[in-house]
Amino acid sequence: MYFELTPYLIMLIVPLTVVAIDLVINSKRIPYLLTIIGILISISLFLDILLSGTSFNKYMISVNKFSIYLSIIFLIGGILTATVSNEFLESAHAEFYSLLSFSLLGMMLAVSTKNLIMIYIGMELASLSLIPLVSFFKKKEKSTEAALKYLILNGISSALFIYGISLFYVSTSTTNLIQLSKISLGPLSLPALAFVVVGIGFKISAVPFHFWAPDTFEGAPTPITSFLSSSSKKMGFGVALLIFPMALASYQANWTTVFAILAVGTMTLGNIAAIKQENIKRMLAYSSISQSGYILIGLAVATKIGLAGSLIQILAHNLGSGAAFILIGGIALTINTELIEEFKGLGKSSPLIALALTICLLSLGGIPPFAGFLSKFILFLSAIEENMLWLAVIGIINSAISIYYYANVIKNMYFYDKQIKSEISRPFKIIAVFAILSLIAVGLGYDPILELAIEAANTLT
Amino acid sequence: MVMEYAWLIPVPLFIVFGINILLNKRLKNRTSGYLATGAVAFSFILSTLIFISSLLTGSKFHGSVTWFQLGEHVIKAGYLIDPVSSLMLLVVSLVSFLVFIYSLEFMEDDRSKPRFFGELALFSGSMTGLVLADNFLLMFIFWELVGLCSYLLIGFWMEKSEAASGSKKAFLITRIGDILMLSGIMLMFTQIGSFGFEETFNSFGQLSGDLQTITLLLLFGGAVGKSAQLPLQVWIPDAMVGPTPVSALIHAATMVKAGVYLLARISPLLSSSPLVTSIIAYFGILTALFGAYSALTQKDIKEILAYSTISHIGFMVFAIGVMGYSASLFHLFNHSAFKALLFLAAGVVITETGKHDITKMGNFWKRGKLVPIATLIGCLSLAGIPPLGGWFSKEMILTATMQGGNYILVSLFILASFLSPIYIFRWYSLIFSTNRRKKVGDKSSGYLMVLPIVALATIAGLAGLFNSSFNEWMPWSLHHGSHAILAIGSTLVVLTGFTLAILIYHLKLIDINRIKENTLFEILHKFSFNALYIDDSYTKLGFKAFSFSILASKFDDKYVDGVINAFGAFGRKVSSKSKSFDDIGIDGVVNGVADSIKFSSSLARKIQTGLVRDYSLWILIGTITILIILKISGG
Repeated sequence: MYFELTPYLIMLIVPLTVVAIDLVINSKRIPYLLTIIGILISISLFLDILLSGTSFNKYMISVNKFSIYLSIIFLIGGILTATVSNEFLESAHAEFYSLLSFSLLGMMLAVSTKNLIMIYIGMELASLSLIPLVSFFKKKEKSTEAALKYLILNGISSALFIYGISLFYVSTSTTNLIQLSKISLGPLSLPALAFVVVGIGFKISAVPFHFWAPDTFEGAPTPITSFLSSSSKKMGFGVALLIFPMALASYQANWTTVFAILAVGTMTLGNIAAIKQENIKRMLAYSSISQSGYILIGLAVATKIGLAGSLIQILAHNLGSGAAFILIGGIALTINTELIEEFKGLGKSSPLIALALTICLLSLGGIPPFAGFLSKFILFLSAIEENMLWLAVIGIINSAISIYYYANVIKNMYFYDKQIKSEISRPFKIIAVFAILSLIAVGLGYDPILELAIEAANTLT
Repeated sequence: MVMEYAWLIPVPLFIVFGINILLNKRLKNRTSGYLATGAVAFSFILSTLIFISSLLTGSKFHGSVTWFQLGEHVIKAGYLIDPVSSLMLLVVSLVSFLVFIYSLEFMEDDRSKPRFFGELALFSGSMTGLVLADNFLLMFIFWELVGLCSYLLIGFWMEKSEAASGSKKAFLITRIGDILMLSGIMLMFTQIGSFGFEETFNSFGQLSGDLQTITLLLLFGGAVGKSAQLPLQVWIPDAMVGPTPVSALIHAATMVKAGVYLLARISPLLSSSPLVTSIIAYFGILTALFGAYSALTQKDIKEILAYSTISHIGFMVFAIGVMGYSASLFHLFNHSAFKALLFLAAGVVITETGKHDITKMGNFWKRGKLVPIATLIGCLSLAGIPPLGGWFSKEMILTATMQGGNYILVSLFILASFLSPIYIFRWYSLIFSTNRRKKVGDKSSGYLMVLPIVALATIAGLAGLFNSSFNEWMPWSLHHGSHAILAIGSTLVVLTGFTLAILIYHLKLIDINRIKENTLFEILHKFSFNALYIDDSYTKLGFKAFSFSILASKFDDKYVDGVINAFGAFGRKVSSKSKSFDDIGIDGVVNGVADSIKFSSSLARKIQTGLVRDYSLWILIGTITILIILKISGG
């Protein structure tokens, strides 16, 4: 009867086992294999719950289609990171993998509840485990700088978020989202809303709370950058989707405009800043900011289709951006640079990696038949249907601008005749094949995935 | 029934793409070409069967399956075979087949043959997919895929520095059109709730008049981008840096026709909106004039053909605008044949002479008669000389124009068709004419390159015979009016242009250099050579826009950089400290202590000079703004 909790339990047991074994045997492979196997078991348990159609709602935990959909997305991000991490690590493998698993557990808990306190605990567990991971290469100054920035700004955002929660509690004497939706919030409602928005705004790097993101993304070890973009950010969105459409439905008129404006600012500024970046990691960091803007469109629209669009865009970005970061990490390992200019000739020397990176970038740019097209298409459609044509138009223009800098990378990879030596190891090739297949499958509208996203969106309203 | 199997047409091409890209280095160069040619031969045979069965029975076929569900909307995907799509299928697969054969020899020495044939196969597969699609969404997906292939293939020759910029330009400029089209499709979907052609045609009438006009104009915007109409025509001349078979297939015969195909597809919607059709007609005829005028003075062998393509697609779009749908498609068919032929011939000329500048060519007639004669047939058809296909289709367009009764359009059309023979016979004479004392190279082309040219010449030569049966087969009827005088007149105008070109460029009875001294002519020449300076002004505007974006991103950097500097210093200290702890040595400890003192002082300084202040400022501004918005929008 507590079967629905087993995936969470696995993600708790795995890191503890990893650390325990490390006390006895100092091995590189054991933590790596244990973590990957743990994540895979967790994913399959989630799929099993989906197939059996049960749900769980007791104490402070609530397992339903929405939480399963997002948890699987986090776990996919986790597995992308875990698969290649051994290529980057030199020591302290057990610590790395156990922190990664703890962070995943935090993310999963943050979206598997209907209680604000649990959301907060989950978010903190996820973020605090991430800070040492960001600074894992303590000898590289950029890595340390990145962690420090993340630490301070995450602190500010968490403080604001919990302050917002406390205001809710003061006005309503409850932290339960379902009860919250039934009670009027009174005079403190707007400050409470504002603080929660700002707190989440940091997590999802919405403009103007995005300043930490490019530096942290650039400085962190690349697998962790991928994890930040594919999973950590998505946790922020999961929390926003959990709180706003349901618990704060009576204030929809207020927050719709806020999210619409945040969406416009985030899309546009992220795009414009990405255009002139020469370091691909930094460019993708800005691109990741602008992609968050699209997800906000669905939150602003807040219809079933809009929320489903957001969820599909979360998946599309999780796959596209997560894999893209991993792949450039792999490329950078062999050619020792992250400059876009130095990617010349890659199309010839490692065709599979170049093809996969191309598809990731095209998907991010919203070119069919890849996942990013379908998600954006649904988001823009939902905005037009809700008479927010202006939002859709700005989104469309932005996705057109973004092609410019994505095409630049593709141009460098394919259109220059230059001999470079790049021998990219097998884990990256696995990720490449996975990215190609999954982006095309989602982009062609593979029905079970879309259906799950739509059903997940239905549980939100 | 063979039509049911139409969905198989693109399949082998996609498979070949996968094989060629994934096996890349392991595949023998020859094998990759044969695989692709085999796949396209299959598509060609199947398309021909479908074409014949459509021609004989005039029947239609529509098959579809459920694609996915979006809320209460069920999105379907399928394929639609009717006269329009079976004609396009034939054009695409026929030209693909011939171009693939040609490429076997043309690309013989290229090291990246598998990539070339892989991308070419992906293109042909996507293009047939575009034609088969039974709904706007599926069509758009293939629409983008062919654009992507065009992008990859233009930039195929990496050695050329222009290749990268030309391909990027083509991709970005056509994207403008694509976005308009996508917006049109979405607008339509939110009103009608379906992407299917049939459903859309049935319920389009329910939309308000303004909405109809906007939607149609947005879709036309897509056609403008893809088919290189004014004002988005600038990418085609730059796309000519790609390999010649690519120019022949993608930028002359097939992809650039996608816009015309789209317009023909939505013809049931266009017929009810006179405003939109007249806008289309004017855009088309102005493009036709622009292309022909710019083609008059170019020097690059392929760029002349590129401007000519712009001009002729202008004719097709114009024909759509005056509701001569079947005339437009007949011209599309003829143009695909003769323009692919001319490009392939240009490829032969370029390989044998190694030159691109036609003013430095000549005497090519001596290199065996097959290619020059075939090219001559193509040129005659392009110029609109009876009784070739080009003449018939132009006459059909003229008939349709006359039915509209707009004499401005009629005269503009005749003017544009007067220019066609002049530029194309300038091109032909400068390359092939024996009057010049120019040497030709000693390289010669094999039969794989010559045969496709001869095959296309045969088609271009005989196409005119089928004009009346073509007209009956198409779903729209075009009545031949009693405009005999005008038809004869326009033919005479074309013949005059032809004679003039022969006099100037072939016989040299009129000295072109003397006319050039005239100031007016000089100005005209300059404008023509620079294609009305449209591209240049875009470049300048584009540069401004780009510098604006840099300016905008500076805003971001001002803050980001401040933070970077501050934290960078901080991070350096921390890391150097941890490094010293790691190095177990006396120096380490000493430095560590010294560093930590320096570090704390510099940290204090940084905190006071901006970093935290900047951040708290932004948090404050952000929070207050959000509060204000919350307050205002709540009413």
